Amino acid sequence: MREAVSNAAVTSKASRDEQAARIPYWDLVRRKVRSVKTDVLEHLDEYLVEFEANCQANGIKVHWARDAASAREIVGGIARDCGAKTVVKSKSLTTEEIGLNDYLAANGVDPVETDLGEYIVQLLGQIPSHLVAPALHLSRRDIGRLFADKLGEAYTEDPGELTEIARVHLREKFLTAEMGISGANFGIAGSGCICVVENECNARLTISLPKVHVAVMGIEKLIPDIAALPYFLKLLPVSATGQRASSYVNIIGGPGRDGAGEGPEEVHVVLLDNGRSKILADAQLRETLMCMRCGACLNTCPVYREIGGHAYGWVYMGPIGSALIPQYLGEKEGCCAPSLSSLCGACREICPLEINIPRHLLKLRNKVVLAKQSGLFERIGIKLWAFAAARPRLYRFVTWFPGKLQMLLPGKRAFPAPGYMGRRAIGRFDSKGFARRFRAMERNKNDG
Amino acid sequence: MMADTDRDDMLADIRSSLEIASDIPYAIGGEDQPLEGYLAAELFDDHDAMRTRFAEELANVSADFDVLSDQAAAAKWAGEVLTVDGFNTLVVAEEGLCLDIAKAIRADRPELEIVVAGDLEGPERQARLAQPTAALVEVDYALADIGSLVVLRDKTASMLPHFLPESVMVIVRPDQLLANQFELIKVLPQDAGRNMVFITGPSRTADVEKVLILGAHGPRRVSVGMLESAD
Repeated sequence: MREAVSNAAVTSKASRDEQAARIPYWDLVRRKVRSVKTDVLEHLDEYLVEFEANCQANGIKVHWARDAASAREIVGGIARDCGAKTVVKSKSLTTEEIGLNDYLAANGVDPVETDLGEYIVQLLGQIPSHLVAPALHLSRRDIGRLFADKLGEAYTEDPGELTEIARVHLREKFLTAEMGISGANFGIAGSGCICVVENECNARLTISLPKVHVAVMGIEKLIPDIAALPYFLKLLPVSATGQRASSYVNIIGGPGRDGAGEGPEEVHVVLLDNGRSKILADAQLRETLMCMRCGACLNTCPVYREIGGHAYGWVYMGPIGSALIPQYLGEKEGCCAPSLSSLCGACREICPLEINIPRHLLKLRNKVVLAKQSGLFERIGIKLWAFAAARPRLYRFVTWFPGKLQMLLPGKRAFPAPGYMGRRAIGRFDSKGFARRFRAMERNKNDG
Repeated sequence: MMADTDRDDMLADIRSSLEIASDIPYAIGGEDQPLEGYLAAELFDDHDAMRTRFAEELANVSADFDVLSDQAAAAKWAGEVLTVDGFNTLVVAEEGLCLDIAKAIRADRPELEIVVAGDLEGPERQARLAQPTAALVEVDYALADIGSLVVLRDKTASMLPHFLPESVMVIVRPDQLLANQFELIKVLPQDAGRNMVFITGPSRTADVEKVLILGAHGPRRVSVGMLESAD
């Protein structure tokens, strides 16, 4: 898993870097978008009211959901009203956030994820391991075995054949589903539209084939008007997948079945708060609401590359996930997330909106400690570390000694760590230590 | 549903939150002027340069591009694409240029079945277009800088031929080619952008070990033919 995640993240970052370098005014667009987004957050109430009014003028039904339960109930009610038995879904982290699939399934509606990566993790009963590439942690062999087991297909590990299998199975679902559910990358306040960006065309089919379309959108996703959209579309595909443009950008401004006999008869937008207004109340952490969910910070993060997305334990992961998890789930449930970072700053550097994630993680760590949500062992460990770190000789000894002690273990294995090693591999202590390695490196540099 | 109560409560919460002054640094940018300068410089000196860039960008996204001298050349081009793809059914959205071209192809290939999507009822249309077929469609605009095709939804015309068939051939008129999205937003008629799709190459996925596969759920192949004359 570690190798798959790391390789994919490195490849994605390289594509992103190459494409960003082709745009000479990249940093100017970043600042422009940041400025637009700042304005939206500072006047969010006004933009929401404007968005609602324009959506209604376009024939879109707007629903307000204060929390996940309310959002689930609204979507479930729409499904009930239209008699939906099967719902096709395009990739939406917001619907993952509210646990929509489980709710629909418990209420007799079959939710079918149609993005290939989402379809794979749904069949496995997992949650995504990356914001943009949900099945990043799986090999082609894993997927081949999954399709053979769950779909009764002959085993193959050819990516083209695996994609074709999913295409055939899901096309039938597109044609029979009564309702389609999407997220929204942007809500355009000035014209009452939503914008869904994708590559597979599954969102387009989700939006246009069923008779009812429901988009679940976080309240922070608004942009002022359509003139602002091209700036965001300069940044999003490059940052997310290293493409100059995504294959499909869908702008939806109302139902469309009246004349052409296709497109949804009803379009609903569910505006989700679920803790966002609380985040807005923090003068500093408010900045995390600017996130476009592009996943660029994941690809550059040395911690994410090592531990993968599932280690974060929720639907958001990587550096931005570390900042969002305690804010959405609370300091108790999300107490570990802010610590899953080396604070190296690579995430801030690559973020298209320049969100200062390390600064926010420090504040969130502080909040966790003040809320007394850090564990006893963690507190003792940090105190011991602080004691040693302030005494260089002692520090050198305690970082050198375990490596030597480890040599005595049979096969020079790593120290046993009960309750930890079942799920993750633990590394061996480095018998040299950073300080010695660094000094040797400097010596070599000077000699060379 | 508790939507109405939630609305008032949510707006009250947001307003209460916004009473706290933001700590977001450098919120106001002074970047607009130099940025507009860069964007203005991205406009093309002449149509040929813009068309060349469009062709390059289409190649980058695995779409084909050809220049077509007239309607007869368009029919020949589309017939060749059909032969390569091995389809005997050609879908068009409605009457007009594409249907005329389709009929011209059939003059040489009597076995060709032409399906006019607008003539079929909704469910029948979906089922028919979901079968392996090719489509010949028009778009409203094309964007040179990223190789995108822009379709505005006309409530009376079917859009499914752009998305459901396996192979989609697109006719672009020269006057539809614009430099980029910024120019598009400036020329769009009022309200026209409310229902719009940008298409950039075939549908694609890299969800299996980052291997790029064309034809995830939509067209596997997109071929663009640009007419030399707008007439």
